[in-house]
Amino acid sequence: MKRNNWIVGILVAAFILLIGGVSWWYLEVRSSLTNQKTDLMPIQLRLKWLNQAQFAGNYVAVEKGFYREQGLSVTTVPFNYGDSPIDAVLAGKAQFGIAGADEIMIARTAGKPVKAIAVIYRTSPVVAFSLKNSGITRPQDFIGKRVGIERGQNVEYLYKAMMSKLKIDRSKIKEVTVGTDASELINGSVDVSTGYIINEPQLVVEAGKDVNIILMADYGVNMYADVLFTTDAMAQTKPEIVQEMTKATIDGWQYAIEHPSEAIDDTMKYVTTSSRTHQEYMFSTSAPLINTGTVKLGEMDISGWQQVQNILFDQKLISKKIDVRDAYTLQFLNTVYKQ
Amino acid sequence: MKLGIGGKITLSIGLSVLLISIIAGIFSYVNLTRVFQSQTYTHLESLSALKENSIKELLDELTTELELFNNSSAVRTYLTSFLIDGNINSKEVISTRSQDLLKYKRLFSYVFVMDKTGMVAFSTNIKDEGKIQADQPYFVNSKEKTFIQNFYYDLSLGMSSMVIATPIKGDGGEFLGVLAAGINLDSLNTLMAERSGLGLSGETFLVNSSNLVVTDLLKQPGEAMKETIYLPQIENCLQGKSDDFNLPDYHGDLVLGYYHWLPELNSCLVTKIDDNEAMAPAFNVISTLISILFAGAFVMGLVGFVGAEIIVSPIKRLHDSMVKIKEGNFDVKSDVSSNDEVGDMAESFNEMTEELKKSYSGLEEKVEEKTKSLEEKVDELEKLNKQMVGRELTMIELKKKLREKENGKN
Repeated sequence: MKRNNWIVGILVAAFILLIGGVSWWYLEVRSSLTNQKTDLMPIQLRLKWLNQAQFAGNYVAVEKGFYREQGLSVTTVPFNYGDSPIDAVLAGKAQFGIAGADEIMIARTAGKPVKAIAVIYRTSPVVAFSLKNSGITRPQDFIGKRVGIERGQNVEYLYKAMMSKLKIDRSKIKEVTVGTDASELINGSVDVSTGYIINEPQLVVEAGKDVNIILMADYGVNMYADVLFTTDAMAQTKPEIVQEMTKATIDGWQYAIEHPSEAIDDTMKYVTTSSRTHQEYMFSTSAPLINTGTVKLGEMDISGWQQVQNILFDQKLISKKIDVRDAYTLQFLNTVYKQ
Repeated sequence: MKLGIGGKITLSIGLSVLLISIIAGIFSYVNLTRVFQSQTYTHLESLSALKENSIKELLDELTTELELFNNSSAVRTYLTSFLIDGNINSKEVISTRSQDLLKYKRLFSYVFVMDKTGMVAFSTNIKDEGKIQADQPYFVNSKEKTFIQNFYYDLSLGMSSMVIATPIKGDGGEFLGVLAAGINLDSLNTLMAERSGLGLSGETFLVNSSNLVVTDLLKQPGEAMKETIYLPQIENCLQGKSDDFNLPDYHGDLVLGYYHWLPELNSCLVTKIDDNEAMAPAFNVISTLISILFAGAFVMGLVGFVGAEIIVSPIKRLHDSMVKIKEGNFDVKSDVSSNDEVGDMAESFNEMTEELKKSYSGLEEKVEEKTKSLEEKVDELEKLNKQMVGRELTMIELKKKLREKENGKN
């Protein structure tokens, strides 16, 4: 009798150990599976321009695993002249893209079903810049000077919008076409050049000359710049993926802003043709345009989109006004910040 | 293992003192931490109230100074003439007066005037003139009354800034433009940095409605306007609440804190100190108490041990005597002479030994006597036996002689 009790006891203990072991093994394997995310959703993100710190938040989200945590395997694809991010996303080659708010508004007005889900650059990085010793510090100073314009981009029409807002007579200005390398200002063939604060002015500084920077956003033509977007169909049929993408992108940018040097480290894994110093400058000038301190990262509102539409309409880049609320949705951002 | 009376006494005294110590320790821990916690909360709350008052006073002073400046006859006339007619001489006067305002107590770091379209018509930062600030909150919200714009990142300054703006009205009350000034944040930062006896880890900081930390953090300097905090205490605070909390903070350490909603700044004022530091005095008291209690338990155990020895050692000696008696030595006498129960026992033992000895030696005498009488009896019996045997032999002799005589006759 006593012997039997012993055997039963040992059997029960063995059974408990077995159950425990099996469930531990199951959980362990399961969590390692979820960590590895063998079932990661492949996502392509089309970038607005070549690989540079302008997209640091996205690189951080890839490198620090924020996308992976959300179950996404994101590949960033830099700009190529074959197809723009909007075309690629509409054609289904990519699920998400980074494009200018103006491009989104133009596409939307043309009836293309693109949808902005978060704004990255709340303040437009478009600037005019001159050499420090020229004394040109304001648009009013452009009169009688040679101003280099980057044609066919938002730089051009924002410049025009700014001048009309300031009621400056452009016929008194000699406007010339320039490229994106600031060489015309450096070699003295123009007095003022235009471009992006995150890039061109630094080229002049790197050439050994100090610059005055005139941020066009300060002169009544501020508008959202880079936005994260997808298609209407994606937002409607796969909202969970859009949600995950939005969350990880915001997390990536927040991390980048809090840890600039790590963000540059991650950026340099993608950048092939530019120096770390240049990317550091780009990031340090970008951060205040992204993180303005007044609202949360990514947040946008109707007045911001109306401003985009008004400038485009005034500059005749669109011929009609649509309901701006069709161009963006706050659904995903709101969920991010509710969590 | 055999546990003697001494061990039992020592163990029971030691254990009961230890038990009392543990119970006392737990109670004092609970009570002391509660007392220290509530004291810390009181301190944090009063400090928070102090800071809030200072902030309010500062904002009031800023508002008053800017409104006084705006409405002083020395400025007002020139402002209206400048905004209505674009009078350049008026602008000069405004510029001079503005420089005076900047020098006054260093409350402001720059002054600017926007016309009714939101364009900067005058600024002490000449570079800002001509900028269009129509969509800036400080222009949009200051058309009726003075407005303070919470911390934001000022691109031209390249740093965080706060702006206070007040409407410029014409004689008929019509809106002409906005007079605005950038607040010198040094005073506010100094105010926030003063720890007022909050210890080494104590600090106060502000978080705005976008969860962004707007003043410097003690443990992460340089993170102002960069770091966001999404913690339960901040979320509660941003819903307009104020309360104590004992939760991990942005650096992950447990803190005692007080969050307080500041509607004037649309921000959350957090006052906090590391739990470890705040509770250190309580832990000191408790650890001292526990050491005393443990030492007490040890001393009590020792006392028990010595006491038990005093009681047990005579018993042991008595036991030794008993062992000797068992071996037959009746001359043993116990030397235990204490005036207590054990002494009585020893006395009775000695008496008993005496009696035993007596009865033992009497027994020997009796045995000797008995032996003697037995020996005598044996002698007697032997004599008798000899007599009997001699008689028998004589009888046999006589019988023999009788038979010989009978045979001779025949």
